[in-house]
Amino acid sequence: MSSRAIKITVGAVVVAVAVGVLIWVAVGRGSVTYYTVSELIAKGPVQQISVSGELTGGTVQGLGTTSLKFVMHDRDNPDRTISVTYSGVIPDSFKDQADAEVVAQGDFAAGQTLTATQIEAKCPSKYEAAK
Amino acid sequence: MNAFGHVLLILIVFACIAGLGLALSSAASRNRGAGATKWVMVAVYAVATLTIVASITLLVQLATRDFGNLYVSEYTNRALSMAYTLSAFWAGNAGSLLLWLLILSIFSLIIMRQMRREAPDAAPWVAAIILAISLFFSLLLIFGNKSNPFEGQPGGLTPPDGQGLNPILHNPGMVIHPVALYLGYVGCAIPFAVAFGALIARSPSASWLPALRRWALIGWFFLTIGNIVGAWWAYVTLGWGGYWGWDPVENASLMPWLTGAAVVHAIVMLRKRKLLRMFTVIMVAITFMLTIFGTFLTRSGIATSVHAFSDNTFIPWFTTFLIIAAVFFIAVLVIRRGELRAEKRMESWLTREAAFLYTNILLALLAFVVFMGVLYPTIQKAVSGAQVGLNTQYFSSTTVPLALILMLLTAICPLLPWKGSDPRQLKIDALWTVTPAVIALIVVVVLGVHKPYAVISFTLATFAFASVVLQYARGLRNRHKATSSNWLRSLGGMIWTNRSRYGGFIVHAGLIIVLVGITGSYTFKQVIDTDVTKGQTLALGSYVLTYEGLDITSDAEKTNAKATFAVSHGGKPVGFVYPVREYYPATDQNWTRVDLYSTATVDVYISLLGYSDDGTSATIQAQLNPLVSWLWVGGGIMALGGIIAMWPTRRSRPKGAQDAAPARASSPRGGR
Repeated sequence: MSSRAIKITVGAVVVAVAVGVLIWVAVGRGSVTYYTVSELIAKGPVQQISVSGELTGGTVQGLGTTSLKFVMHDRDNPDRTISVTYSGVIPDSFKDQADAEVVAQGDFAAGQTLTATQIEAKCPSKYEAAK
Repeated sequence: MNAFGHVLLILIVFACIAGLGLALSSAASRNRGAGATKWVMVAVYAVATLTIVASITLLVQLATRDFGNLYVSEYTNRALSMAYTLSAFWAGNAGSLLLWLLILSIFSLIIMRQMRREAPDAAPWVAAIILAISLFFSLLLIFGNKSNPFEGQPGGLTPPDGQGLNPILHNPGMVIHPVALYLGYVGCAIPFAVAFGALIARSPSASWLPALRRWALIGWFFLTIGNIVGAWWAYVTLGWGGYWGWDPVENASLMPWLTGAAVVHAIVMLRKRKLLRMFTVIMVAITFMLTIFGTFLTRSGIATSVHAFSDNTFIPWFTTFLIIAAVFFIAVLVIRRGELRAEKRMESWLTREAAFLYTNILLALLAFVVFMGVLYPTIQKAVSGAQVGLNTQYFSSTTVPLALILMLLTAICPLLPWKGSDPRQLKIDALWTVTPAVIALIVVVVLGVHKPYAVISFTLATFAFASVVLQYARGLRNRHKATSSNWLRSLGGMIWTNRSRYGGFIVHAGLIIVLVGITGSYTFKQVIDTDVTKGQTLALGSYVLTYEGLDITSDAEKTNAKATFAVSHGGKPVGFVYPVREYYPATDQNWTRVDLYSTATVDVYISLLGYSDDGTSATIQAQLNPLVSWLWVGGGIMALGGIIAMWPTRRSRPKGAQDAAPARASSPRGGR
């Protein structure tokens, strides 16, 4: 190999390794595992997760404020429930509507409670394309 | 009307197929004169005319509120104002796909005229590539699920009124953002057609490089506008006080912007130094594929986002298209690798040429880390079966360090000497640019900024800005000396005679301002969630907000609650902020319309989240967002620089031999 080819190869390897490490570290920091409500209950306390399920009717407190509390249940096993607390801007799509699809992101602690940093609600809206 | 539109779509398909056949036979024939592409042009005009007529048909249906059209009834209603009714053209899937085709067919007219004039041997191939892309979109319009904008009502019953437009789209951003992004996306398809058409035809690069450069700039310019307006729209309407959420669809428009910037820089090297030939062509292809990927990501709803028009029946369509495009692009590269062999080599690692290469690699790497972030959940699912996503932490951890290196290169690159030029200048230049950077570093630290990224960012920004100013100052001094005209005239003349260079530096200045804005807004943001009662005051940074009450009005469409906050600074009243909360009973939807008081240094940004019916108390989120206005100013400056850089050079028209001769004489310098 010429010295030029060696330099290019070494440079490419260094860059590739650096970017690889950067991505690896960032994935470690930013990865969020998705669970359903039942899966999460089975898993137990865990941080930085996302859980999807359905809103349990009549459990929503604090709509129109900045601190929200509600109960969500598993889509297939409605008796499995967790309670969620969230403070911040409540998305406009979040409504007190039984069985609306909800996704909450945050830390899950003992006592089946989730402290959410982000919530998303997908109500069966007409603005979404037909199922 | 629906049947008419439908027939037009079918005719477009036939025109594309006919044009494709004509283009390929013209390309295969030995006759490479302008006459050979005459019939191809007829087909290109036919596709454009039919697409324009189809688009007008849809506009007429929207304007006349023809609810017999399913698309019209799904996205508009009688209460909607005319401007937003017309903008519903691109509110949904079907119309957006038609818009893609419309822009492509109009662009194809312009580029084909240019190619026939400047690179006639490549023209049939360029036409073939464009018509193949058009064919894909026209087939998708007809056969895709919910992608035909002329679909009638199921059952044939015309409803009395439509369903209306999502309130999120009731914003001027709706008129600009999607159109600008699509202009950018489609703009990136043209360089692909030009580069690969010319490569297949083995055209000399001098004949098609100007077209490639111009369209790469056009694509990049519109992507810039699309992204900035999208960020502004998110900021002023989405209510969470952010302008960028690393949403997959945002990422989809960021990636071609990054690779498009790499293309623009690579073309500079190709024109000036005949370097980076292979790199340019590969980046052109990747940029094009990323725009298709972006369109696909928006349309497919793979990602749940504010943009999702979820419909995963598009996956096979776009996957097929992307595979065909990838096979085509790799095959052409392999077959024509001889054409792409470097004529010259880079000899030193510390020249301007090398710095351009590093910049391009860095831009490509930035796009790559974003791409990995977008694909990571899919990869994880395939590998381990786990449902894993990435939050914004991933994106900030990867892009921030790379963006800082990019800023460093923006500062250093213009200072480095071209190969063979005098390196002594470097010391003087370094003094003029490093000194302000060091002063900035000291000032920033003394002012109490201690977050490492913020300190580095502000220091490098000053370094890079000083570097741009230095280039301007030196150019201006030389021009002033040489022409002995006044300073202003010298400045104008300097920019005008070297638009790509000085336009480019203006883009850099704009980018630096944007990056300073991003740094400031992430580092110093303050948020307060609170309840306020009438007359209550609230301190937010150095501002004081007073809740003055609520004004509730109702009409048939919505209930509108508008709060009034008086803003004062240093004891002096400076303005009012009126956040609004709307309720649409028909759809049981709430809509938070934030309002802000914006200055050069901070935005006071308030969302009304709830209120008591008598208006005496309200729940708000108040944010102090520093330097956000720098994003819009910087974005505007980038757009201005882009316009200067891509402003066309006056062509020497073949009227007299006098005009044509110097043009011919100067063309070999262009990079043959």
